[in-house]
Amino acid sequence: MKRILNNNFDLTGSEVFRISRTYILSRFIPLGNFNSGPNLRCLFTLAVLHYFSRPIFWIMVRQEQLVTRSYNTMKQIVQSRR
Amino acid sequence: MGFEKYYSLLSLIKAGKRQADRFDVVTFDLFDTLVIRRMHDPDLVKMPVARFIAARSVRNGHSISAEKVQQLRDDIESRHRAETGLHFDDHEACYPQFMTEVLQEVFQSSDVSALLEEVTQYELFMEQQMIVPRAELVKWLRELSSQGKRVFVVSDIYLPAAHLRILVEKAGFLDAVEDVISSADSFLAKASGKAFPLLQERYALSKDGWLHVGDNPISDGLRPAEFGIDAMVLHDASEKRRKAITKRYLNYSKGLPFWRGRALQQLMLPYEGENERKPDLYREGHAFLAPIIGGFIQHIAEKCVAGNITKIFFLAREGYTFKRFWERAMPALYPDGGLPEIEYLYVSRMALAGASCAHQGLTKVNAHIAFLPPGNRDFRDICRIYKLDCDKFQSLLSRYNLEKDTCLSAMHPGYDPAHQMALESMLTDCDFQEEVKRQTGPASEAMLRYFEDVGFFDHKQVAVVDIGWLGTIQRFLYEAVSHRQDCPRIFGFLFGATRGIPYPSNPDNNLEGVIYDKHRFDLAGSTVLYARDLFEEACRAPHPTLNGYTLTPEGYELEFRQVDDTIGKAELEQDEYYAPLQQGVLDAAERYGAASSLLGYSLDDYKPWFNYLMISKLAFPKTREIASIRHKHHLDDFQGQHKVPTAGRAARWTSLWQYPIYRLRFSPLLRLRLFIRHLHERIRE
Repeated sequence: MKRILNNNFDLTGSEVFRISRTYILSRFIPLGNFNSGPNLRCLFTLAVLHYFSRPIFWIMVRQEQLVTRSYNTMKQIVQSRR
Repeated sequence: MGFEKYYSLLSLIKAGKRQADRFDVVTFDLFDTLVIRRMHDPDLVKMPVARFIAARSVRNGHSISAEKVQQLRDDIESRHRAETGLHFDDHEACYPQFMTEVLQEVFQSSDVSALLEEVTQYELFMEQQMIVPRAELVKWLRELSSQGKRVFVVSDIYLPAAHLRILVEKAGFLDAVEDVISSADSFLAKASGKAFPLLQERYALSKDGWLHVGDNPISDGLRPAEFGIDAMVLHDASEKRRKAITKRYLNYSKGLPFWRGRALQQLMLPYEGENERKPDLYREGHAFLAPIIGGFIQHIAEKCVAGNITKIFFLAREGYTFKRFWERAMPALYPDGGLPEIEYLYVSRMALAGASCAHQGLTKVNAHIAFLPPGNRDFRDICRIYKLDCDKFQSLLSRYNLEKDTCLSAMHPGYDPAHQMALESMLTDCDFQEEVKRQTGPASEAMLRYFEDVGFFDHKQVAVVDIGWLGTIQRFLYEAVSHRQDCPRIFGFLFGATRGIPYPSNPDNNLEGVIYDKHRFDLAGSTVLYARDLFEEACRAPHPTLNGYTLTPEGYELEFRQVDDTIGKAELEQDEYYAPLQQGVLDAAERYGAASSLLGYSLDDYKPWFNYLMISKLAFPKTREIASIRHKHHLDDFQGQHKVPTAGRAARWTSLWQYPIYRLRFSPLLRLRLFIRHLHERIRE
């Protein structure tokens, strides 16, 4: 007996790590048409969000102004480099 | 007076309960406090409404795209907000007012009241589908109400209070609140703090002993504190994280089609109190089968609307689940209507096989079909399937040097091609065909009366929907009705079309495999072949199979298979075993409709994700998954009782899903080896 949505807001039975495993396998043998595929960067971001972001959000809600300021600064730096 | 921030729901409720004695009045914010939305952005619910208006405009001859409707709505709403800002502190808007203007603009008519009612109902329906009450907070609200405290729900939103009451009622706590107040009615919102004096005056509230609970630090924290009442602000880290995840799935799905199906599932997921512990079978039904069945059903709806098909017959018995799924999912996907009628049709291969011979006799192909299952061996099996009396053919069999038990299947020992030739010669004999037609005539007549009753011949184009696989039900069905002048064009939609025997498609009778079709090379889709029985069991109706149609003086009778013999009991046991799986599928149906409508995608968009699901769940499943969902008994009356000699274990385990648990767990690279074998077989096809 498990929940359909697990504690990390992931889909029980189709967790992001299982998607990653299948995606890696599909790079070696043809598994079918995944169209664009999941994209490694997206998989990484989702894995972080699902499984490692609890402390990030813990800090974020407590230090929202600081986090927003830092985020905006980072965004400006990235945009200026472009 | 001031306000406190709480970083989790439980800490807020704990603190609230501690201070509850001090308060006589508690006002709650609604959105993101008492209820959450499945999606990260509340504006997403506007797009399906825009599509609905656009679809209606096409019907009324004022063609406009959904994007333009959305743009128009945004512009008019912004203008209303700006106009309100001239007279009030808050820049609020009222849904009925701006939506009336939108509809007047789109339909170029001043009287849009009936249409406004329809649009409002659909918008509220979509909102209802997307909101989830926060179980713990609602429980506390109910506690406060039962303690005799006055409880109000206050929201800054464009929906008037009458609409909010509908949402609160759907969320299940309207009976525990004294009233629901919206800023859309008075344009006095919490954001400016003007809502609080309004509440004080309207309900004669005292500032002392008044607590406000919300999620916005300004509207729900600072403003009530400035007014002089206590406030608690929920700053929920977990909820922010959930929204961030949902946002990623939805954003990624725009650029990467792979994520579209996953985004769909994220919106279908149960949250808060809905997310209870469930049996493995229920989870698989909800999270694996339901989205795929949803895609299948949505595809059929799109095809029927585009092809002007006016009635869909869901064929027994798997069509039972498809029909129930359709009934639950379609209101969200097609609010504008325009869908074909639907009907559940009691048919089976066994029931239709005999009826198919009444006018054309027993064809060579149909005789061949009888020997596709390995359990069928001789002429007695032909008679069993086509409901013929074997003894009446004795003289005809002797004429062609055949016996009732002469082996006619190449899969059995004793097979001689000469016997097959003799059978084919007999099929060309007029006496044989006359006897076949005479014997199957009454069943055919009864079947036609039943089909007339359900309106099969009242339409020019009909669709028949079944799980698969060869399309024999549709083949027999068409052969049984094609002699009639009023026979409709039949469009067959199968979940998976394996086409083990070529289907005689023509413009009046064609067939398409939706999730898998052998005519399209689809490696991931072909994995349905791993566990065909699973899909059948998951969708099967809870009634026995149909044996045939009996002609009676009053008309006809449907003759069902007995349920008190060993096979019948085994099937009942099987139905009970799979009940949670089917329940999971049906519980997800309504959410599929709402989620898919919100995203605006169709089967082609979801297919990459469904391909992943099928590969990971059917070809590379976990041992635990196979153990919990594979079938125990599977009834197939088409299959006879003859045993085919097999060579060793390998012949026994033809599919991964038949392997014993110890092999699944410990055999190295078993899944990979079997998948490569499957791959070779598909390429050889």
